[in-house]
Amino acid sequence: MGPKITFIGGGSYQWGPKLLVDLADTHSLRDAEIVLHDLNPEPLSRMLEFVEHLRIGRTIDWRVSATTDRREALRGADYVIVCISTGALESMAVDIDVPERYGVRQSVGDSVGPGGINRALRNIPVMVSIARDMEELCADAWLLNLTNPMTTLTRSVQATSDIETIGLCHEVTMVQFHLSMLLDCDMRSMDVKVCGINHFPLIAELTINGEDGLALLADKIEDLDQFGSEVLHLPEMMGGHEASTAGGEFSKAGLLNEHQVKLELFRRFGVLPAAGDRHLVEFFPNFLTEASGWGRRWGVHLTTIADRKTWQDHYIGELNKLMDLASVPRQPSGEMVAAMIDSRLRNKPRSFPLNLANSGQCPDLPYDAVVESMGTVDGEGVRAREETSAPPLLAEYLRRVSASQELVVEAALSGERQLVFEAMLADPLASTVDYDQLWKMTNEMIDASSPWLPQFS
Amino acid sequence: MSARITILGGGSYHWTPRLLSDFANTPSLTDATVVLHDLDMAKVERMVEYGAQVARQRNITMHVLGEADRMRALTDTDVVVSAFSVGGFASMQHDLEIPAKYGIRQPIGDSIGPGGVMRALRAIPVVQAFARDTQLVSPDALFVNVSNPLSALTRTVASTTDLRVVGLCNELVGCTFVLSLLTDAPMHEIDPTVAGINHFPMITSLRIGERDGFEMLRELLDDLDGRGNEPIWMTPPNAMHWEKVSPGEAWTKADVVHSAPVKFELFRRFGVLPGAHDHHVTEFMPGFVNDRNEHGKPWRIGHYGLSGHVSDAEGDERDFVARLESDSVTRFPSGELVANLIDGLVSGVARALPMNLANAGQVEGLDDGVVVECMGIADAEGVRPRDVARAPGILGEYVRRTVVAQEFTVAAGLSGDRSLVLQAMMADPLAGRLPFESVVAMTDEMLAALAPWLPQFASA
Repeated sequence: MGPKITFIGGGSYQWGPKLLVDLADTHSLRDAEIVLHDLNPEPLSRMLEFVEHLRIGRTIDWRVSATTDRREALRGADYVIVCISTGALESMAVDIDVPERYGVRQSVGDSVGPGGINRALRNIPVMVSIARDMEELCADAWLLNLTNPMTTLTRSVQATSDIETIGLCHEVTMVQFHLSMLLDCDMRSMDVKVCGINHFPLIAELTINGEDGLALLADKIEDLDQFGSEVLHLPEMMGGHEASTAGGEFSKAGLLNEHQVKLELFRRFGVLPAAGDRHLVEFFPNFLTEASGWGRRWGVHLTTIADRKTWQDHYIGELNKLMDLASVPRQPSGEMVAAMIDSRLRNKPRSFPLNLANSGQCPDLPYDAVVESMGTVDGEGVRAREETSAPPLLAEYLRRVSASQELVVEAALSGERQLVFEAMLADPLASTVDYDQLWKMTNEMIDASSPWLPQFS
Repeated sequence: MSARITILGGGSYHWTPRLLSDFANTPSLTDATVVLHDLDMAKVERMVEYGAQVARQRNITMHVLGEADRMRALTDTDVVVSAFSVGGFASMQHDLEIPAKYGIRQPIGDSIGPGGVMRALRAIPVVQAFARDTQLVSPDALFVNVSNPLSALTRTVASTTDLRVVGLCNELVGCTFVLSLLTDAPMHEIDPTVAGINHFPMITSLRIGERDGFEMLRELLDDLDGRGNEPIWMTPPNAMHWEKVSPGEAWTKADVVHSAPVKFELFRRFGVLPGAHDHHVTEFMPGFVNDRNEHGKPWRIGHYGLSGHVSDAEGDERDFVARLESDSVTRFPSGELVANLIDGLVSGVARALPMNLANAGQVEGLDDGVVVECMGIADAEGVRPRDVARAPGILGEYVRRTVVAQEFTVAAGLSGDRSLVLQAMMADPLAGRLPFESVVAMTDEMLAALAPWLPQFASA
């Protein structure tokens, strides 16, 4: 009998289908039990139909069920995948709109900045209660967190529970994929050493077939005239690029245009930040400025709630398409959940970018803070792979964000507004607001989010 | 023991007259030998003349002499006081005016911020040379730095020599005076615990006599409409630049609170009292001074600007002339701590005073070796920190961030590495908030404008 894999937030159109396809295509999981839990029964039944469709098409022996009873879903689970969003887009509008009135525009608003802080305040009590239920119902299960803000949510569980908790994010993988296109190499020939925080991880070393990949990259970007017009063929799933190609073919220069911020930092400091620029800029006060057209000069677009609604519709449309196909395509998502579980079950060691408590893998950051680095998963479990340092200034930027994140977790657990204010004062983006205004903004955000912030009532 | 004290920058109108009268007012120092060295020996001659006048008027054996040769001035001395600046107002103009073009208004501009960074870059090679020479000819001397940026310069000496070094600043004395006015306690009964850095020192607990001073302060702040109307025991000196808002004739406690709104806001909110003037504190917390609040208007933050610094210097010169014309030596202590500290060393009677020292654990949460401001003891053994404390929460985090910026500044000043200057700017609370392209452009522009005073950057 295979493992019991429970999805909390199993009605997620964004995460559910791709993770389920990955699981279905992982041989060691063909006899798994899949349990979908969601507060909302409507997407849940749709997703259940999809799992059945997938199971039958793949002729695998999954036992599949869906429930709105979280305790039932957790009982006896081996892996708990958490992809929730407390209050969904309605609550997220507060994260974006209120700061904008105070002069802070966020390109994503889900990791740091005032939006990321407020999102953490909503999600942390839920995460902590999931972990508490797990202690009772499946104490040995792994909690695989895919929910943002990844660092603070993962940290909140680690601060309050003994449940093994790992934060998983695809940003490093995506950057590796782009590098493989830019440098014409196979992703599997590539290895990275990473230190940092989720959405602000730094590739401090890159080897490609044993060669210094960062040196190759440095040469390449100085030689743009030579290769910039080379055409790239992107997988269809990377739809984000379609807009930027706008009629023409997608070129290497076009790809570089999407990475202006990380390449500027790479030129100055010698390490390559390994997340989308739209994430990176939120960790600095210097890019999302009025002077830069709120990031436009750097090629960063501000994701709006309307964009997210469009994405949501897109995910639903994609799911409908999959349901119409007799057989769901075998398309790896680039997410790590299935491969990780496989590595553990078969004792087949693999490296992944992982968000774990710092036990020395990121010596620039405090112990116990949640950090992103390369980790190893095998039959023994999960652990950081090596120690990696950041160059001094970026190490300091990481520490500043980490300090804010520690305050956020404390604030969310205690329900103290004062601590939220301190977290805002420590946050690079939020602290650009005038002191008096920042206090007002903090309270306005908390008050506007009151349906989702019981701990502050 | 008769102390030998060398003042580098001994022609300073600001420092030397104050130190000489303080020495004359300190029984253990009335027989001291004071050696004045300066690039401008004409000014030193005037100070020597003033020193002779002090000795004559007080009938003491204090001997003040000038020495144009730096090595000779430093030879076999007990205490070196370093009191200088490089480039004067011609350079300081750039410290203030270039950042202003980019939207940064620095209330003072001599400790951190882009101006403080550049001021440090100018002075670091000089203080490094002073310290190196001191090490050669008086390795046991105590090196006392009173020049700004105090932390960066003290750190330079600590990190490049084995000398004993301390940085002294009068801001906490000013804060003690404020607390004395608000609590009616004599200044000597006011005993803070301090954990922070110069111009951003955090008082983390406070004893006033046998009482909890923070409790006394909270009681007053909670009752400004009542107890705030009590008169203060002394009309504040004009130099405080305070604003009286109460209707009556007498200055009240509420007037004092009104005059330091940032300090008391931070105390109310975070339970920690910054022990420096609001003008300094706000340079570490740009939330109080920014383009959205008319650069600090609601907090009554004035901006010194170049004219403020020039007018201070003119005041110093006028004050010196008045001293020369006076037939007695003032008994009023200057508020500076140099004489007090040397008295501890010479008399062996332990003196507790705020000091800037290399961190050896006295400020928790900061790395060893960085220069921190704390309460210290000066006695026959030398100087050492007195307490162990930690600045809590966000204020501790702001202290930590500034220390990091200062470490970049010192490394840049010593190495002449432009990339380190950029990193110092990016880590700085004021400069680091600018758009990225502006931080880069402003750094380049300041380095270019200040090149005459930055020989270490010449080759780049």
